[in-house]
Amino acid sequence: MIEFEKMKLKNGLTVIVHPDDSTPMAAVNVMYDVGARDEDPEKTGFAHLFEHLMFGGSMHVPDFDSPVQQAGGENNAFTTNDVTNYYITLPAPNIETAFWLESDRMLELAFSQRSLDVQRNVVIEEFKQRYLNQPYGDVSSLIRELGYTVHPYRWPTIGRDISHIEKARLDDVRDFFYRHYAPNNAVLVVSGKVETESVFRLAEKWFGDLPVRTVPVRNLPVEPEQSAPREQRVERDVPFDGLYVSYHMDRKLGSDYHAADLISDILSNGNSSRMYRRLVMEQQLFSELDAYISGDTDPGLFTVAGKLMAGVDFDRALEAIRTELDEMKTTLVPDNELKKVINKVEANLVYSETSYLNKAMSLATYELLGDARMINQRFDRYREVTADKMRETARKIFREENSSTLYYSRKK
Amino acid sequence: MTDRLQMPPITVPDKLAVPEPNKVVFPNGTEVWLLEGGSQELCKIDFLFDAGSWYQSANLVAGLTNAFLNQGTRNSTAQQSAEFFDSRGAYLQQSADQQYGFVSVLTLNTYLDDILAKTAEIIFEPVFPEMECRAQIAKKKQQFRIENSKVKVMAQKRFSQVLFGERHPYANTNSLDDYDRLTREQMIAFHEKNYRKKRPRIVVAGNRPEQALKQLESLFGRNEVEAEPEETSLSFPVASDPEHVHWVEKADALQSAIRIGRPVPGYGHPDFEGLIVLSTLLGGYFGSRLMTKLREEKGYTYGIGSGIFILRNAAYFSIMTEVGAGVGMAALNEIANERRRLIAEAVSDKELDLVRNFMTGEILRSIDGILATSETLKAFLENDRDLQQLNKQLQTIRQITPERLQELAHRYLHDDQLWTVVAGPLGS
Repeated sequence: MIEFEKMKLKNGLTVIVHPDDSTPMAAVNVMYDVGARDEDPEKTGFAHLFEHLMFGGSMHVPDFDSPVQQAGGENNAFTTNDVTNYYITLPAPNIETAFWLESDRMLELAFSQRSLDVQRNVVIEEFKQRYLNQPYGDVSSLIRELGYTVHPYRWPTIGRDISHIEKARLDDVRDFFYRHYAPNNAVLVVSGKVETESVFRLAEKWFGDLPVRTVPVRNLPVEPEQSAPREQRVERDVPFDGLYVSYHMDRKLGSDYHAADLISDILSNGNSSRMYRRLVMEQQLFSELDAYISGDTDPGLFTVAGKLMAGVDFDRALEAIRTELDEMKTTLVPDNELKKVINKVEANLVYSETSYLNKAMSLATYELLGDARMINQRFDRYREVTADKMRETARKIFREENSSTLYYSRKK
Repeated sequence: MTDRLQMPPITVPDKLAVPEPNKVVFPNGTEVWLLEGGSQELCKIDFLFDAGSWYQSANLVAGLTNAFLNQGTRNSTAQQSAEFFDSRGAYLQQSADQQYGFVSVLTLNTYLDDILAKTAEIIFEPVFPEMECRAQIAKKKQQFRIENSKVKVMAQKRFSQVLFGERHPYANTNSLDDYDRLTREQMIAFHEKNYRKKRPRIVVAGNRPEQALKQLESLFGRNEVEAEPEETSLSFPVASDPEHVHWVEKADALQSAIRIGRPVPGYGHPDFEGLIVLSTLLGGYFGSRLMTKLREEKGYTYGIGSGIFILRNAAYFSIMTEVGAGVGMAALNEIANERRRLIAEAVSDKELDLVRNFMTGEILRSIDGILATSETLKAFLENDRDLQQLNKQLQTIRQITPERLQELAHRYLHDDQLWTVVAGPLGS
């Protein structure tokens, strides 16, 4: 049980506190309800570029990082398709420094042309380092493009095209800030060696006078049901062929989500999982094979991703994957196997609760999904899943017309 | 009105509450460190064996012997063992580096005794079955080829050869052919000598670590082991390459990976702790000089860092980055400028203060929570140190002067004392 208290400031900022005495540190985590899905299709990569600019100084604080380091802290941020998250961990007595910094950049950024010019280059180098200059680095982008036709999940957080980043102007930056960065569009979570009342007082002191902003109501295009299988073939300079099959699946709060997650565990979580045992070790068709769900707020993708062993052709590999997915549709998962994956989920939750920062991020995530209290029902949602439910979910997901297949061939 | 121009007051701890592990020695001499903390009902047990590539007679033997421990024992197949861990939500992890072979398990307390028994079976009774090993090797060969097409891997590998000399065990000279040359007999012999006959050092961390003691003693505390580790008889001279600049070509790469560095003295040398401060100042944190110049001012890279890397028998300093293909030379020049600036000018008190506070925070984070603390202790044990080393580091951090840092820069960071490796499209 993760105990926490919650309050809302007059300007709409939600504040959550989770005291944890096992550490001398504290985490201050601010999650904004904006991600790559909120971008203009012609200006993709913006939420992430913006995340970089949030470190370029704010109205009263010219340099964000130095005070954090001065206070013995560490900070970072990440952007997903759904949210943008900023966090600082520091010795608990210095927590007010984090309030000062986070509230000032929520109040107003410095909007400097220089910062934009530099961070544009940094992000372009990040694009190269993580996506373009790595073998198989563009796979996730290709899967999205193939899997979605209208929903903004069709581009990755780094952006659809480098040129979108290159063209970003200071006006775009300003506009993005005032549309999405506001107390009424964020959750502040503080965890660690703190007292609830004093955190609430600090929140009021530093965030209480920030202005409410008009945040546009999210109205994203709904991805239409897929009616025919899709496929794409690309050739790249990589040592081995890759095969990727994706299916549309439920959103994070949907009724099929947890069953789908457990299906992916049955298939590929751990060395005793079905696909690892049969297709990697016994039949030796793949050097790596993974089944995973995207875990998005809106309906996401269930993906099977494999790298083929040399000499194995695509048809045989695809056939083997389909055989495994078909078994999920036809045969009930035996009790002991279901129990195994549920035990693993339970253990993983216990392990993750050793980190006060993890807990802060999870609380923020659930609060943006609707209610932080869901953090304490996480395990129940998995425990409720039955073998029947898994078979029914597999039948919904693993349909030929719901599939997108990416053939990623090595250049001969 | 809240004063937003003024940074709130901060305090920096000048004393550390370093956890004191409880140490136990088993009848056969095996040493165990118990770390107690946290409220979660879990236990993590780490085994350190003197079984890294330092002790191998051919490439890959140490690494693959370690990797294949779980591929089948006298009593169970790889599949049965995997099932055993997975069904209890426990994690078994193996890895080997230049010096050590590691086995690590994370489990809920409920399953502790069973998990320890299975772990001991995997450590002591592996049979390295032909079929499983062959399948694993085929897989690893493919992963090797994928990894070795990355510029950062190409650079790091050559860098280790240049720094230590190709014949030194700290140099990575693994090739694809080595996988075909490896025999089952080599692994069996390596296992016999370096796992079955040697005492591991064991770190137990959790909310009730003493729970593991009885079972650990019966499994690891009574078997016969060699009295003296052979390591004292092994020594390898460091033979750095006479040529200081190396280029590994990858013509079509979009970025070049850069490594610049040199061997430095390790624990016990009076310069060691100071060098850590120096390398942090240069590139050890987000606001460091290299990050500020190359990322935040020039936009040449997504990230650049520097650090001191400690292996049991050698330590080295390294700068690491990946930069845009077109700015390789410019990046090298900027790095050299920052390095020379450390030699030419003393650091300001303000900047040094920042570094001090950041490093103090790092030390606090290294013992923050039971899992972090056990990682930190393990890293110290690898070099025959314990958590008290943190107090020594804190003392150095607090006392070091700008003059002393400049002196260290002068002693260690001159152009002709460093080796540079670039992998990517940058020529000459």
